[in-house]
Amino acid sequence: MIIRESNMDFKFKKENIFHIEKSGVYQQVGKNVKICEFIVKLKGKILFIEAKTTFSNPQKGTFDKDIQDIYQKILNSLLLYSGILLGRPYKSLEKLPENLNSMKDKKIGLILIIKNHKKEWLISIDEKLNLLFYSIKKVFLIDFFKVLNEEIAEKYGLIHSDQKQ
Amino acid sequence: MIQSVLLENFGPLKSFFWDNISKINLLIGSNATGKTIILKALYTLIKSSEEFGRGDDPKRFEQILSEKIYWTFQVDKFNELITKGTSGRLRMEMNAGHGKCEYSFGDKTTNTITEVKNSFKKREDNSIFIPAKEIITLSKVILASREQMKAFGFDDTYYDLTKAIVNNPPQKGRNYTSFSNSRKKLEDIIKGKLEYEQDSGRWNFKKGKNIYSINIVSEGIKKIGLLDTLLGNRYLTPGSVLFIDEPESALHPEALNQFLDIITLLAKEGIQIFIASHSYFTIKKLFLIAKKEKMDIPIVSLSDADYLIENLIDGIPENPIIQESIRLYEEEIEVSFQ
Repeated sequence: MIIRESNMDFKFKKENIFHIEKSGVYQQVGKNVKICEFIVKLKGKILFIEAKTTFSNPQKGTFDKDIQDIYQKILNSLLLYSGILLGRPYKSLEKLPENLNSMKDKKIGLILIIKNHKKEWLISIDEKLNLLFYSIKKVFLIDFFKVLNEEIAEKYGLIHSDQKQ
Repeated sequence: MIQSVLLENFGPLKSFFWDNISKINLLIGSNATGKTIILKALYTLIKSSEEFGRGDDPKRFEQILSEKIYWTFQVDKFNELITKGTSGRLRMEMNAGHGKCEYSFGDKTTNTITEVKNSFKKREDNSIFIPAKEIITLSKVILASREQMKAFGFDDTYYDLTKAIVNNPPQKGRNYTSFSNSRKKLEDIIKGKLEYEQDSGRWNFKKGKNIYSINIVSEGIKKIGLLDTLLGNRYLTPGSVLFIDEPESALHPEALNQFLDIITLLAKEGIQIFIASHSYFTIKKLFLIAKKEKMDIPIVSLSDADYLIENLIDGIPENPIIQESIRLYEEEIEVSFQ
Protein backbone atom coordinates (compact mmCIF):
# COMPACT_ATOMS: atom_id res chain seq x y z
CA MET A 1 0.00 0.00 0.00
CA ILE A 2 1.36 3.40 -0.95
CA ILE A 3 0.38 6.59 0.80
CA ARG A 4 1.49 9.86 -0.72
CA GLU A 5 1.71 12.66 1.82
CA SER A 6 3.62 15.94 1.66
CA ASN A 7 5.33 14.87 -1.57
CA MET A 8 6.71 11.71 0.02
CA ASP A 9 5.74 8.13 -0.79
CA PHE A 10 5.20 5.81 2.15
CA LYS A 11 5.00 2.19 1.11
CA PHE A 12 4.08 -0.55 3.56
CA LYS A 13 2.28 -3.88 3.49
CA LYS A 14 -1.44 -3.31 4.04
CA GLU A 15 -1.51 -5.47 7.16
CA ASN A 16 0.97 -3.06 8.75
CA ILE A 17 -0.60 0.29 8.03
CA PHE A 18 -3.68 2.11 9.28
CA HIS A 19 -4.44 5.22 7.25
CA ILE A 20 -6.18 6.94 10.14
CA GLU A 21 -6.67 10.19 8.24
CA LYS A 22 -8.83 8.40 5.65
CA SER A 23 -10.54 6.02 8.04
CA GLY A 24 -14.30 5.85 8.43
CA VAL A 25 -14.09 6.44 12.13
CA TYR A 26 -12.15 9.67 11.59
CA GLN A 27 -14.70 10.84 9.01
CA GLN A 28 -17.30 10.27 11.70
CA VAL A 29 -15.35 12.15 14.39
CA GLY A 30 -15.14 15.15 12.15
CA LYS A 31 -12.61 16.99 10.07
CA ASN A 32 -12.31 19.78 12.59
CA VAL A 33 -10.47 17.33 14.84
CA LYS A 34 -6.84 17.33 13.82
CA ILE A 35 -5.31 13.94 13.15
CA CYS A 36 -1.99 12.55 11.93
CA GLU A 37 -1.49 10.80 8.57
CA PHE A 38 -1.18 7.14 9.47
CA ILE A 39 -0.10 4.54 11.98
CA VAL A 40 2.32 1.84 10.92
CA LYS A 41 3.97 -1.20 12.41
CA LEU A 42 7.63 -1.18 11.54
CA LYS A 43 10.30 -3.44 12.96
CA GLY A 44 8.12 -4.41 15.91
CA LYS A 45 7.19 -0.83 16.82
CA ILE A 46 3.92 1.02 16.35
CA LEU A 47 4.69 4.42 14.85
CA PHE A 48 2.36 7.40 14.57
CA ILE A 49 3.41 9.42 11.53
CA GLU A 50 2.72 13.04 10.69
CA ALA A 51 4.29 14.43 7.51
CA LYS A 52 4.88 17.98 6.36
CA THR A 53 6.78 19.50 3.46
CA THR A 54 8.05 22.47 5.48
CA PHE A 55 7.85 23.91 8.98
CA SER A 56 7.88 27.49 10.17
CA ASN A 57 11.00 29.17 11.47
CA PRO A 58 11.32 29.38 15.31
CA GLN A 59 11.72 33.14 14.96
CA LYS A 60 8.38 33.48 13.16
CA GLY A 61 5.12 34.00 15.00
CA THR A 62 3.53 30.87 13.48
CA PHE A 63 6.09 28.51 15.01
CA ASP A 64 4.23 27.99 18.29
CA LYS A 65 0.94 27.46 16.44
CA ASP A 66 2.59 24.86 14.19
CA ILE A 67 4.02 23.10 17.23
CA GLN A 68 0.59 23.03 18.90
CA ASP A 69 -0.96 21.65 15.68
CA ILE A 70 1.47 18.74 15.62
CA TYR A 71 0.95 18.07 19.32
CA GLN A 72 -2.82 18.06 18.89
CA LYS A 73 -2.74 15.85 15.78
CA ILE A 74 -0.61 13.19 17.39
CA LEU A 75 -2.44 13.29 20.71
CA ASN A 76 -5.83 12.93 18.95
CA SER A 77 -4.46 10.04 16.90
CA LEU A 78 -3.31 8.26 20.04
CA LEU A 79 -6.74 8.74 21.62
CA LEU A 80 -8.68 7.69 18.54
CA TYR A 81 -6.57 4.60 17.94
CA SER A 82 -6.85 3.68 21.63
CA GLY A 83 -10.61 4.29 21.45
CA ILE A 84 -10.91 1.84 18.55
CA LEU A 85 -8.81 -0.75 20.36
CA LEU A 86 -10.89 -0.30 23.50
CA GLY A 87 -14.11 -0.80 21.54
CA ARG A 88 -15.58 2.62 22.10
CA PRO A 89 -19.02 2.71 20.41
CA TYR A 90 -18.14 4.64 17.27
CA LYS A 91 -20.95 4.44 14.69
CA SER A 92 -18.58 3.39 11.97
CA LEU A 93 -16.85 0.20 13.03
CA GLU A 94 -13.23 0.20 12.05
CA LYS A 95 -11.44 -2.97 11.13
CA LEU A 96 -7.85 -2.45 12.03
CA PRO A 97 -5.05 -4.02 9.96
CA GLU A 98 -3.98 -7.43 11.15
CA ASN A 99 -0.71 -6.30 12.73
CA LEU A 100 -2.13 -3.22 14.40
CA ASN A 101 -4.94 -4.72 16.45
CA SER A 102 -3.09 -4.52 19.74
CA MET A 103 -0.68 -2.15 21.45
CA LYS A 104 0.11 -4.68 24.14
CA ASP A 105 3.85 -5.06 24.72
CA LYS A 106 4.58 -2.97 21.63
CA LYS A 107 7.03 -0.12 21.61
CA ILE A 108 5.38 3.10 20.48
CA GLY A 109 7.06 5.94 18.62
CA LEU A 110 5.68 9.31 17.57
CA ILE A 111 7.24 10.79 14.45
CA LEU A 112 7.04 14.05 12.59
CA ILE A 113 8.70 14.03 9.16
CA ILE A 114 9.46 17.39 7.60
CA LYS A 115 10.53 16.70 4.06
CA ASN A 116 12.89 19.53 3.29
CA HIS A 117 14.22 20.52 6.70
CA LYS A 118 17.95 20.61 7.42
CA LYS A 119 19.09 18.50 10.36
CA GLU A 120 20.15 21.54 12.38
CA TRP A 121 16.65 23.01 11.99
CA LEU A 122 15.00 19.79 13.18
CA ILE A 123 16.64 19.91 16.59
CA SER A 124 14.75 22.87 18.05
CA ILE A 125 11.40 21.43 16.85
CA ASP A 126 12.35 18.05 18.26
CA GLU A 127 13.27 19.55 21.63
CA LYS A 128 10.13 21.69 21.85
CA LEU A 129 7.78 18.81 21.01
CA ASN A 130 9.60 16.40 23.32
CA LEU A 131 8.98 18.83 26.17
CA LEU A 132 5.29 19.07 25.24
CA PHE A 133 4.96 15.28 25.02
CA TYR A 134 6.90 14.67 28.25
CA SER A 135 3.92 13.79 30.45
CA ILE A 136 2.04 11.96 27.65
CA LYS A 137 5.13 9.82 27.05
CA LYS A 138 5.30 8.94 30.74
CA VAL A 139 1.57 8.26 31.17
CA PHE A 140 1.16 6.24 27.97
CA LEU A 141 4.59 4.57 28.03
CA ILE A 142 5.57 6.08 24.68
CA ASP A 143 9.11 5.12 23.81
CA PHE A 144 10.10 8.17 21.80
CA PHE A 145 9.09 11.24 19.86
CA LYS A 146 11.40 12.23 17.01
CA VAL A 147 11.42 14.83 14.26
CA LEU A 148 13.06 13.58 11.06
CA ASN A 149 13.59 14.86 7.54
CA GLU A 150 13.06 12.82 4.39
CA GLU A 151 16.67 11.64 4.31
CA ILE A 152 16.60 10.28 7.87
CA ALA A 153 13.10 8.83 7.42
CA GLU A 154 14.36 6.94 4.39
CA LYS A 155 17.39 5.68 6.30
CA TYR A 156 15.10 4.16 8.93
CA GLY A 157 12.78 2.54 6.39
CA LEU A 158 9.84 4.90 6.69
CA ILE A 159 9.86 5.94 3.05
CA HIS A 160 9.89 3.57 0.06
CA SER A 161 10.08 0.77 2.55
CA ASP A 162 9.91 -2.76 1.18
CA GLN A 163 11.91 -4.05 4.07
CA LYS A 164 10.90 -6.84 6.36
CA GLN A 165 8.41 -5.44 8.88
CA MET B 1 38.86 49.60 17.90
CA ILE B 2 40.79 46.70 16.43
CA GLN B 3 40.17 46.59 12.67
CA SER B 4 42.34 43.79 11.31
CA VAL B 5 44.93 41.28 12.40
CA LEU B 6 47.49 39.11 10.68
CA LEU B 7 49.24 36.26 12.48
CA GLU B 8 51.91 34.11 10.87
CA ASN B 9 53.59 31.10 12.43
CA PHE B 10 51.96 31.94 15.73
CA GLY B 11 51.46 28.75 17.79
CA PRO B 12 49.02 26.49 15.92
CA LEU B 13 48.26 29.25 13.41
CA LYS B 14 50.41 29.03 10.30
CA SER B 15 48.71 31.95 8.65
CA PHE B 16 45.67 33.80 9.94
CA PHE B 17 44.19 37.00 8.55
CA TRP B 18 41.02 38.64 9.82
CA ASP B 19 39.76 41.94 8.51
CA ASN B 20 35.98 42.03 8.98
CA ILE B 21 36.37 42.61 12.71
CA SER B 22 33.29 44.17 14.27
CA LYS B 23 32.01 45.36 17.67
CA ILE B 24 31.21 41.83 18.81
CA ASN B 25 33.33 38.96 17.50
CA LEU B 26 33.16 35.24 18.16
CA LEU B 27 35.86 32.59 17.89
CA ILE B 28 34.99 28.90 18.02
CA GLY B 29 36.90 25.68 17.43
CA SER B 30 38.02 22.50 19.12
CA ASN B 31 40.63 22.54 21.86
CA ALA B 32 44.15 23.61 20.83
CA THR B 33 43.11 25.14 17.51
CA GLY B 34 44.22 28.63 18.54
CA LYS B 35 41.17 30.52 19.86
CA THR B 36 42.79 31.66 23.09
CA ILE B 37 46.10 32.28 21.28
CA ILE B 38 44.33 34.78 18.99
CA LEU B 39 42.64 36.48 21.95
CA LYS B 40 45.92 36.68 23.85
CA ALA B 41 47.84 37.92 20.81
CA LEU B 42 45.32 40.73 20.33
CA TYR B 43 45.32 41.45 24.05
CA THR B 44 49.11 41.69 24.38
CA LEU B 45 49.37 44.18 21.55
CA ILE B 46 46.42 46.41 22.47
CA LYS B 47 47.37 46.32 26.15
CA SER B 48 51.00 47.20 25.37
CA SER B 49 49.77 50.20 23.39
CA GLU B 50 47.73 51.28 26.43
CA GLU B 51 50.57 50.85 28.91
CA PHE B 52 53.06 52.66 26.65
CA GLY B 53 53.72 56.25 27.69
CA ARG B 54 51.44 56.18 30.73
CA GLY B 55 52.41 58.56 33.54
CA ASP B 56 56.14 58.78 34.04
CA ASP B 57 56.93 55.30 32.78
CA PRO B 58 60.00 55.68 30.55
CA LYS B 59 59.88 52.16 29.08
CA ARG B 60 60.15 51.82 25.33
CA PHE B 61 57.25 50.19 23.46
CA GLU B 62 59.42 47.21 22.48
CA GLN B 63 60.23 46.62 26.14
CA ILE B 64 56.60 46.80 27.24
CA LEU B 65 55.52 44.49 24.40
CA SER B 66 58.28 41.98 25.18
CA GLU B 67 57.32 41.88 28.85
CA LYS B 68 53.65 41.59 27.99
CA ILE B 69 54.27 38.65 25.68
CA TYR B 70 56.57 37.01 28.24
CA TRP B 71 54.06 37.28 31.08
CA THR B 72 50.95 36.57 29.00
CA PHE B 73 52.17 33.50 27.15
CA GLN B 74 54.60 32.44 29.90
CA VAL B 75 57.08 30.62 27.73
CA ASP B 76 60.73 30.49 28.80
CA LYS B 77 61.84 31.55 25.33
CA PHE B 78 59.78 33.43 22.78
CA ASN B 79 60.81 31.07 20.00
CA GLU B 80 58.63 28.42 21.68
CA LEU B 81 55.66 30.37 20.33
CA ILE B 82 56.72 29.82 16.71
CA THR B 83 54.73 27.17 14.83
CA LYS B 84 56.56 23.85 15.13
CA GLY B 85 58.26 22.60 12.00
CA THR B 86 58.44 25.96 10.28
CA SER B 87 61.53 27.92 9.38
CA GLY B 88 59.65 31.21 9.12
CA ARG B 89 59.46 34.03 11.63
CA LEU B 90 56.51 34.61 13.91
CA ARG B 91 54.81 37.76 12.73
CA MET B 92 51.90 39.80 13.98
CA GLU B 93 50.33 42.85 12.38
CA MET B 94 47.41 44.76 13.79
CA ASN B 95 45.45 47.76 12.54
CA ALA B 96 43.38 49.67 15.04
CA GLY B 97 41.64 53.00 15.28
CA HIS B 98 44.68 54.48 17.03
CA GLY B 99 47.27 53.24 14.57
CA LYS B 100 49.10 50.21 13.34
CA CYS B 101 51.76 47.94 14.76
CA GLU B 102 53.70 44.99 13.49
CA TYR B 103 56.39 42.86 15.06
CA SER B 104 58.21 39.68 14.24
CA PHE B 105 60.83 37.38 15.69
CA GLY B 106 62.69 34.28 14.61
CA ASP B 107 63.97 31.15 16.27
CA LYS B 108 66.96 32.91 17.84
CA THR B 109 64.76 35.25 19.84
CA THR B 110 64.58 34.43 23.53
CA ASN B 111 62.79 37.21 25.39
CA THR B 112 63.23 40.57 23.67
CA ILE B 113 61.56 41.68 20.47
CA THR B 114 63.48 44.18 18.43
CA GLU B 115 61.69 44.02 15.08
CA VAL B 116 58.79 46.33 15.84
CA LYS B 117 57.13 48.97 13.67
CA ASN B 118 54.74 50.89 15.83
CA SER B 119 52.58 53.86 14.89
CA PHE B 120 50.04 53.53 17.70
CA LYS B 121 48.99 56.84 19.19
CA LYS B 122 48.76 57.18 22.95
CA ARG B 123 45.67 55.45 24.25
CA GLU B 124 43.80 56.30 27.45
CA ASP B 125 41.32 53.41 27.40
CA ASN B 126 41.81 50.17 29.30
CA SER B 127 41.29 46.82 27.72
CA ILE B 128 40.86 43.71 29.78
CA PHE B 129 40.75 39.94 29.40
CA ILE B 130 38.28 37.88 31.40
CA PRO B 131 39.64 34.33 31.55
CA ALA B 132 37.48 31.22 31.83
CA LYS B 133 38.49 30.62 35.45
CA GLU B 134 37.31 32.92 38.18
CA ILE B 135 39.86 35.23 39.79
CA ILE B 136 38.02 36.91 42.65
CA THR B 137 38.79 34.36 45.36
CA LEU B 138 42.30 33.99 44.00
CA SER B 139 43.09 37.70 43.82
CA LYS B 140 45.45 37.71 46.84
CA VAL B 141 47.23 34.62 45.56
CA ILE B 142 47.52 36.07 42.04
CA LEU B 143 49.06 39.31 43.32
CA ALA B 144 51.47 37.47 45.64
CA SER B 145 52.52 35.01 42.96
CA ARG B 146 53.25 37.75 40.46
CA GLU B 147 54.53 40.61 42.63
CA GLN B 148 56.46 38.78 45.33
CA MET B 149 57.35 35.42 43.83
CA LYS B 150 57.56 36.59 40.18
CA ALA B 151 56.44 33.11 39.26
CA PHE B 152 54.74 31.64 36.23
CA GLY B 153 51.25 30.27 36.85
CA PHE B 154 48.89 33.21 36.61
CA ASP B 155 49.53 34.98 33.33
CA ASP B 156 49.06 38.67 32.63
CA THR B 157 45.39 38.23 31.73
CA TYR B 158 44.79 37.17 35.37
CA TYR B 159 47.24 39.66 36.84
CA ASP B 160 45.96 42.69 34.89
CA LEU B 161 42.36 41.81 35.70
CA THR B 162 43.14 41.40 39.38
CA LYS B 163 44.89 44.78 39.46
CA ALA B 164 41.98 46.34 37.59
CA ILE B 165 39.47 45.36 40.23
CA VAL B 166 41.65 45.63 43.33
CA ASN B 167 43.44 48.91 42.64
CA ASN B 168 40.42 50.81 41.35
CA PRO B 169 37.71 51.43 43.95
CA PRO B 170 34.13 52.00 42.80
CA GLN B 171 33.50 55.53 41.53
CA LYS B 172 30.51 57.62 42.50
CA GLY B 173 28.76 60.02 40.16
CA ARG B 174 27.41 59.70 36.67
CA ASN B 175 28.43 56.75 34.60
CA TYR B 176 27.63 56.16 30.92
CA THR B 177 23.89 55.49 30.74
CA SER B 178 24.27 52.09 29.13
CA PHE B 179 26.93 51.16 31.70
CA SER B 180 24.55 52.12 34.54
CA ASN B 181 21.76 50.13 32.90
CA SER B 182 24.09 47.19 32.40
CA ARG B 183 25.12 47.32 36.05
CA LYS B 184 21.46 47.27 37.12
CA LYS B 185 20.83 44.24 34.91
CA LEU B 186 23.96 42.47 36.16
CA GLU B 187 22.99 43.11 39.77
CA ASP B 188 19.46 41.89 39.00
CA ILE B 189 20.84 38.60 37.69
CA ILE B 190 22.86 37.89 40.83
CA LYS B 191 20.56 39.89 43.16
CA GLY B 192 23.51 41.66 44.72
CA LYS B 193 27.00 42.89 44.09
CA LEU B 194 30.61 42.25 44.99
CA GLU B 195 32.41 44.55 47.37
CA TYR B 196 36.12 44.77 48.04
CA GLU B 197 37.55 45.75 51.44
CA GLN B 198 40.74 47.65 50.65
CA ASP B 199 42.13 47.31 54.20
CA SER B 200 41.76 43.57 54.60
CA GLY B 201 42.02 42.71 50.90
CA ARG B 202 38.83 40.65 51.23
CA TRP B 203 35.96 40.30 48.79
CA ASN B 204 32.36 39.99 49.96
CA PHE B 205 29.06 39.48 48.23
CA LYS B 206 26.36 41.91 49.37
CA LYS B 207 22.77 40.79 48.88
CA GLY B 208 20.27 43.23 50.37
CA LYS B 209 21.43 43.83 53.90
CA ASN B 210 23.26 40.52 54.10
CA ILE B 211 26.97 40.20 53.48
CA TYR B 212 28.42 36.82 52.48
CA SER B 213 32.03 35.72 52.36
CA ILE B 214 33.19 35.38 48.75
CA ASN B 215 34.29 31.82 49.52
CA ILE B 216 30.70 30.59 49.74
CA VAL B 217 29.49 32.43 46.66
CA SER B 218 28.97 30.57 43.35
CA GLU B 219 31.38 31.01 40.44
CA GLY B 220 28.56 32.36 38.27
CA ILE B 221 27.91 35.17 40.75
CA LYS B 222 31.62 35.98 40.80
CA LYS B 223 31.73 36.13 37.01
CA ILE B 224 28.75 38.48 36.72
CA GLY B 225 29.99 40.47 39.72
CA LEU B 226 33.38 40.87 38.09
CA LEU B 227 31.95 42.64 35.04
CA ASP B 228 29.77 44.76 37.31
CA THR B 229 32.89 45.79 39.25
CA LEU B 230 34.80 46.73 36.08
CA LEU B 231 31.91 48.97 35.01
CA GLY B 232 31.44 50.40 38.50
CA ASN B 233 35.05 51.42 38.98
CA ARG B 234 35.15 52.98 35.49
CA TYR B 235 38.07 50.78 34.45
CA LEU B 236 36.11 50.06 31.28
CA THR B 237 35.27 52.96 29.03
CA PRO B 238 33.57 53.08 25.62
CA GLY B 239 36.97 52.76 23.93
CA SER B 240 37.93 49.58 25.81
CA VAL B 241 38.41 46.19 24.21
CA LEU B 242 36.97 43.34 26.25
CA PHE B 243 38.23 39.79 25.69
CA ILE B 244 36.09 37.02 27.19
CA ASP B 245 37.32 33.44 27.18
CA GLU B 246 34.46 30.95 27.48
CA PRO B 247 31.72 33.19 28.92
CA GLU B 248 29.63 30.05 29.39
CA SER B 249 31.92 28.65 32.08
CA ALA B 250 30.10 28.74 35.45
CA LEU B 251 26.99 30.35 33.94
CA HIS B 252 23.58 28.72 33.64
CA PRO B 253 22.26 29.05 30.03
CA GLU B 254 19.66 31.60 31.17
CA ALA B 255 22.31 33.71 32.94
CA LEU B 256 24.55 33.34 29.87
CA ASN B 257 21.75 34.72 27.67
CA GLN B 258 21.33 37.71 29.98
CA PHE B 259 25.11 38.18 30.17
CA LEU B 260 25.32 38.28 26.35
CA ASP B 261 22.45 40.79 26.20
CA ILE B 262 24.46 43.02 28.53
CA ILE B 263 27.58 42.52 26.41
CA THR B 264 25.50 43.76 23.46
CA LEU B 265 24.54 46.91 25.36
CA LEU B 266 28.21 47.54 26.11
CA ALA B 267 29.13 46.99 22.46
CA LYS B 268 26.51 49.50 21.41
CA GLU B 269 28.11 52.03 23.77
CA GLY B 270 31.43 51.46 22.02
CA ILE B 271 33.26 48.64 23.83
CA GLN B 272 34.69 46.12 21.39
CA ILE B 273 34.15 42.51 22.42
CA PHE B 274 36.03 39.33 21.49
CA ILE B 275 34.56 36.06 22.74
CA ALA B 276 36.02 32.55 22.50
CA SER B 277 33.46 29.84 23.16
CA HIS B 278 32.66 26.14 23.09
CA SER B 279 29.00 26.69 23.75
CA TYR B 280 26.01 25.98 21.53
CA PHE B 281 24.06 28.57 23.56
CA THR B 282 26.65 31.30 22.95
CA ILE B 283 26.57 30.79 19.18
CA LYS B 284 22.79 30.62 19.09
CA LYS B 285 22.37 33.69 21.27
CA LEU B 286 24.89 35.74 19.30
CA PHE B 287 23.19 34.68 16.07
CA LEU B 288 19.89 35.99 17.47
CA ILE B 289 21.55 39.22 18.59
CA ALA B 290 23.05 39.70 15.11
CA LYS B 291 19.60 39.22 13.55
CA LYS B 292 17.64 41.34 16.02
CA GLU B 293 20.13 44.17 16.22
CA LYS B 294 21.10 43.93 12.54
CA MET B 295 24.66 43.80 13.79
CA ASP B 296 27.63 42.23 12.06
CA ILE B 297 29.05 39.52 14.32
CA PRO B 298 31.96 37.78 12.63
CA ILE B 299 32.42 34.15 13.62
CA VAL B 300 35.87 32.62 13.24
CA SER B 301 35.70 28.85 13.12
CA LEU B 302 39.09 27.27 13.71
CA SER B 303 40.08 23.70 12.96
CA ASP B 304 43.40 21.87 13.04
CA ALA B 305 44.31 22.71 9.51
CA ASP B 306 42.34 25.76 8.61
CA TYR B 307 39.90 28.48 9.58
CA LEU B 308 36.75 30.00 8.18
CA ILE B 309 35.38 33.47 8.84
CA GLU B 310 31.68 34.11 8.35
CA ASN B 311 29.13 36.58 9.68
CA LEU B 312 26.37 35.47 12.08
CA ILE B 313 23.98 37.97 10.52
CA ASP B 314 23.96 35.65 7.48
CA GLY B 315 23.11 32.61 9.63
CA ILE B 316 24.95 30.04 11.70
CA PRO B 317 27.62 28.47 9.50
CA GLU B 318 28.51 24.82 9.73
CA ASN B 319 30.78 24.45 12.73
CA PRO B 320 32.02 21.77 15.14
CA ILE B 321 29.70 22.78 18.00
CA ILE B 322 26.50 22.59 15.94
CA GLN B 323 27.85 19.43 14.28
CA GLU B 324 28.21 17.83 17.71
CA SER B 325 24.64 18.73 18.63
CA ILE B 326 23.49 17.16 15.33
CA ARG B 327 25.59 14.10 16.09
CA LEU B 328 23.88 13.73 19.48
CA TYR B 329 20.48 14.15 17.81
CA GLU B 330 21.34 11.44 15.28
CA GLU B 331 22.58 9.19 18.08
CA GLU B 332 19.23 9.71 19.83
CA ILE B 333 17.35 8.65 16.66
CA GLU B 334 19.60 5.59 16.41
CA VAL B 335 18.75 4.66 20.01
CA SER B 336 15.01 5.27 19.38
CA PHE B 337 14.89 2.90 16.41
CA GLN B 338 16.95 0.15 18.04
